[in-house]
Amino acid sequence: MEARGEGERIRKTGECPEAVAAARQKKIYFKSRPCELRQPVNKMRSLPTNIRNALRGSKDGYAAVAKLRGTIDIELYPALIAWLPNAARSEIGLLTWRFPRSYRSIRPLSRHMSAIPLERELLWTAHFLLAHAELLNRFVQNREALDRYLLLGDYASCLTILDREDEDGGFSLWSLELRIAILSAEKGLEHQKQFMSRIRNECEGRFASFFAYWISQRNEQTTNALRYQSTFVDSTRAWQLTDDFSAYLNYRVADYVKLSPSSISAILRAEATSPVLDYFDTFARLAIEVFSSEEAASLRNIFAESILLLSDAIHDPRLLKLRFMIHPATTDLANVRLADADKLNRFLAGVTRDTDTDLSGEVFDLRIVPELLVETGAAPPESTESVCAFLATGLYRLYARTGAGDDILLEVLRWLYNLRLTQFAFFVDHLGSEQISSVPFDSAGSRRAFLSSSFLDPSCILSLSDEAQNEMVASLDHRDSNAAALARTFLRENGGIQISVEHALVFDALARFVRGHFARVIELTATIPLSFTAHNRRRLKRLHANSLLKNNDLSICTAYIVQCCLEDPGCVRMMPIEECTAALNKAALKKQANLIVTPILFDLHARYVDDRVRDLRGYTYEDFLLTHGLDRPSQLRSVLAEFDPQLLIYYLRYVCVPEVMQISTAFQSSREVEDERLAVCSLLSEIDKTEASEYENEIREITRKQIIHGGVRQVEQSKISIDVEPLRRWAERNIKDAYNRYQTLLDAGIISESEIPSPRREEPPVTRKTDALPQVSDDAGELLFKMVSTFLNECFTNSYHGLDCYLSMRIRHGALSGQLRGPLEDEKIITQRKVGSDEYTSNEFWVKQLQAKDRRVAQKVDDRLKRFSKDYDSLINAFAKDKVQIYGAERREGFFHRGIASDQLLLLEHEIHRDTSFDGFAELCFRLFWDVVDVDLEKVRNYIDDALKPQLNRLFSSLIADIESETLDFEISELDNALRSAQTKAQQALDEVKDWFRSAKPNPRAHFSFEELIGIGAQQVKRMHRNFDPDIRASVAALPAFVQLNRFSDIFYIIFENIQRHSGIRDRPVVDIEASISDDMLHITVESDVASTARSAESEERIRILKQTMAEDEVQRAARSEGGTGMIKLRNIIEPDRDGNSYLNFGFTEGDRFKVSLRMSVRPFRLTESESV
Amino acid sequence: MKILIVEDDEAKRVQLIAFLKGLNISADLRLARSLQSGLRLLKEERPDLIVLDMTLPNYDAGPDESGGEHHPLGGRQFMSQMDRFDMGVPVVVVTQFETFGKGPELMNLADLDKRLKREFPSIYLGSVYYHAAIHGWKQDLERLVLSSIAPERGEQNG
Repeated sequence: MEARGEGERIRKTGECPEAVAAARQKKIYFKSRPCELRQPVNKMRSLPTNIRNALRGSKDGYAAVAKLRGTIDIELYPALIAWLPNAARSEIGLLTWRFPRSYRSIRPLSRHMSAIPLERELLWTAHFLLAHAELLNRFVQNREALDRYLLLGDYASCLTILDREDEDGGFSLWSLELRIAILSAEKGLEHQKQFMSRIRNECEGRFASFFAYWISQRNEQTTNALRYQSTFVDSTRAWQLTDDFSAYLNYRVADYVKLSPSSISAILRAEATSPVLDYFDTFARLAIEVFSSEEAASLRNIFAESILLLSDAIHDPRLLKLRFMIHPATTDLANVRLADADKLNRFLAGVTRDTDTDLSGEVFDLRIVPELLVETGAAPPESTESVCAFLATGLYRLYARTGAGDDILLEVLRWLYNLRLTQFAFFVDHLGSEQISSVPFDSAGSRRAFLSSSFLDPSCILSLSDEAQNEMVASLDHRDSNAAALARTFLRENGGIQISVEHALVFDALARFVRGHFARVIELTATIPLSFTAHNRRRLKRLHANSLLKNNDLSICTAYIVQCCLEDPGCVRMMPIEECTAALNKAALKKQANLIVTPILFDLHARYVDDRVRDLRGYTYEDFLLTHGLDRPSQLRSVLAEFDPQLLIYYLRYVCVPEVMQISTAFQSSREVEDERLAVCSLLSEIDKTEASEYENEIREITRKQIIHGGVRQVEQSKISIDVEPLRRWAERNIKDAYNRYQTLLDAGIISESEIPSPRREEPPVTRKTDALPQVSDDAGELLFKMVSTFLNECFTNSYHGLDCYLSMRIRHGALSGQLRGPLEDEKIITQRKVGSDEYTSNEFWVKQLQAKDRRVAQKVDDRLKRFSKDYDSLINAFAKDKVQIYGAERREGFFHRGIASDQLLLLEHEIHRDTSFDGFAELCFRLFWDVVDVDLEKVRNYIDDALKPQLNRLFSSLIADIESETLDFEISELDNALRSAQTKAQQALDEVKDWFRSAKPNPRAHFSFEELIGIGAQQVKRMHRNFDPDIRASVAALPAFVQLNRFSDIFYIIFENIQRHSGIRDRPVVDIEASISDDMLHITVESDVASTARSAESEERIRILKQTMAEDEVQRAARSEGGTGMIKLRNIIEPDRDGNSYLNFGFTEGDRFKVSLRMSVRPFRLTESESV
Repeated sequence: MKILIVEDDEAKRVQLIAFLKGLNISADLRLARSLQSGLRLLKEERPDLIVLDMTLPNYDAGPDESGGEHHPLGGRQFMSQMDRFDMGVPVVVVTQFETFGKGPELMNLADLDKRLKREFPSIYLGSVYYHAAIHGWKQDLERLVLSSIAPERGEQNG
């Protein structure tokens, strides 16, 4: 640059010759307008006495300085900054305390100076940093060296540099962040965590500890680099910080910045209390952002003066390049080293040497080596121990990918994020992003790479202004003709170098696209030779698609994008999918509604971009069908030949899924949508035979889900049930003799003489012991009444097989409570009763949310929610304990009456004939039993509608009103929404309960596999406790199908409910189930995880007592106690015998798990030979 | 006047029915409890007015049906479908929620009202905040219902 004619440059730029001369002489640079020279820094004005006196006399020196920054002449900034160390007040001294001697001392102040206009803030920053130019120049050199060692993988030297920098310039966030990254790269997460632990101990409660925590988390392998920023920004929003401090934290930790004057100013003000190295680095990084991003172009002038000031004294390539952006003609880039143009030339010409794929540790290698490895088919570096090798491998994998490449990109991005403070991060990020971006040329990314790197890369030239392009080419002409030729080639000028046809086409199309020659780009890229590498083909396809879009050829563009993505999934991130869907307005969508590619495009958007188009994906799915006269995708079977098979398969496989199809009114329920998906899978397995097994698996999975759902429904519909066979056997033992006598009386012609017994005999038979002899009677009517009432009484009250047993097990014992509490638990508005107390636990969820606003209000709301929880449970309990009962002396409110109406008995009498067998009589009694129960069931349903539901609504209304009055001055919309949602869902849950009170219907499906029975039992508990999702690991020997769904679902329901209640692991306990059959005995073992808190002396004692109770054969009494465990119910189902053939055992294992073992006869439950499936 | 009520909350539905029947407009009511059943009735019945809840399940919930996906902005989806099929029936939203969505997408009823006015200017009449214990919703709903019949009548009442 120096060698070029001064006069020529002045003519070209219109700069004032005197100004340029003065600048050269005094080594100062210009404001944005060259002729307006600032006063040279070395002619610093002294601080006027009145200001000094004001500072000395101020009680709050910090505030005084903050105020002066906004009022004094900017030319006095250097003097004020120079004077600060002289201030006696320690708080002013803090302003200059930029060299912490430990991480703990970083950012000791939480106080920030008041805001001043950004122009002043920048100049204050620049003058402050200028005062430490010498130190910062050493920092720049160390930074350069650190990058080199990092790329080479010499981590020990990196840490030595950081130690040196801590010693020289003071501890900094810059050093802390890089130290974490280096430790992680060198020794892995464990060492990083050890370091973190040290920082936590040393810096407890200090900024460094907070900062290191979040940086360390970002470095972890499981962190998604693309989501980290939004996660952190959401967190700061929730922390309710000031806007200024949020802006600082978001930038400092997660690189998130709104490029507005206020945000930038806030960041710099916050950084004003940070170590000087951080202050400087943040300034440089912000400046790069402003000069890269088009949206911030208006801020560039404001930054210009401070950049010019600093770039003169601090020899950071970033500052020099920024100055070049401001004044290309007067900025000399001679001191910035050049990239290896020869190597790049050879690469572009396709005449590389064997050694060109070697990695020298130079970052520019990453521009060439990964792509060259793919093009030559060579293997990537074997070792990825150095950062350079790791990044080269990552980029290589990106170029060579066959899928979307998200996982590879995320891995590379995570590394780059961790190394974001290096000079190469943005350069490599640009290389990687180019391979996954839908934009053919990212000028902002290219500028960012250019500005942040320490070398000069000719390939960045396209992103510079015309003036900067010319100056760079001219500058390169004087330094390296190869580099200059290369720069001209990128500009599609005649560079004089030979490049391959493939690269020539890519450059040509790109240069024309940048200039807006879209029609020409479409022509150039219409046919892309298959001989080109995959990544260059993708680049050309991206140019083609974007040009179609720019030309507004929307339907052609849609088809092109879809075709490219289906042919090469590696294309998917490089296609302008989002841009195309955005361009498709209502009219355009109508126009191309008949095209199968339209819903596919929206599906690609929903899968790979975001879910904003979910509704549109559904609409386009349906519009496509409707325009072809169809309303269900399975109907496409009749018109298969009309569509491209590849597109049709994609549409059916990925678009016609329940999530999408549910948008159509063609389906009236979730089940119908599932059935349609089954039909679609069936069609797919015919037309896409290579993937037939996938579709068959899906069919199996849907079918299994439907079976379990059906099983659960069957169980729900048979909550009102009895065990017919055991009761029949009981009747044979206890009534058959009486029945035979009744038949004899009938044969003898002794028919009923007495009146038919009075309607409804409500009371149970007298069971109290007495000395009075029973009355005897030969009256057939009386005998019939006794037989029938005894039979029905048994059907109602038998503890093992009667209705009361089922009411207890399937409704009163947990199920009703779970069903009605479930929706409230979902909305977190109900808590549980404390063990052994009437009190309810605090609602921690809402208390936590409200406490931030007002502790007193939080307490009142909590009290009210506790009271509501108690009232709600009381309502349920009262219904269960008092109403869902067999009517009797102790259950006067019970709905189920055992009485028989006289007309019912009369009818029964007429149906019994001389040839009626005892089995026939039993059937008649069962039928009578259900007739009696049906009357009561209707009453229960009416009670639910007329009494229970209004009571429930009153509880909610009162709760909502009380909460509203307690929180009048507060925003509690979330709680309000939760209450109202819970009310709606509770009503729906009650409707489902109402449906329980119907007679058991015949099972539509008689047999279930053992795994299905496990699933049905688990699903029943999941329906009540939505978060309960056990990890079930079943090891089941070959077992026959089982016929008694209800019995088995009861077994697993009880076991899973016990796990949910008592394991201490609410959400996802591991449950291992083993089952086998030998000698007609089924052996089931269920072993489940328990939390460490679940096993205690108290719980062990409870189990001991329970076992003892069961051993003492007090089961019948215990079963009626509605106690807190299902084990007694389980025992009743299994019916253990004295021989030990059937048994139930349970308890904690040595491995601190809970184990339930049971053995039972399988005969009653298995299919017979003829029934087997 | 044929009015379609799309509402999944039973207590609120009962209140709405009682109120609309009490208006002097000869209300012929059709009821739906979900987004899909509402859309189906809309296509079949071609009502003169729709009283629409904002938060809706996809299907009518019942013993055999959980209701499918729960749509926090189901009312908006309903109107979006109307727009898609060019169905110009006036809509009044009656909601008992004060806020909608979560996180950065969170908006209050006023914001939602603005958004719906912007997105569906030709069909959306306005929103009513329903509160079982507060009478105001009835006046607001009456005004909007009447404005759908004769705009000037609604204005006068407002």
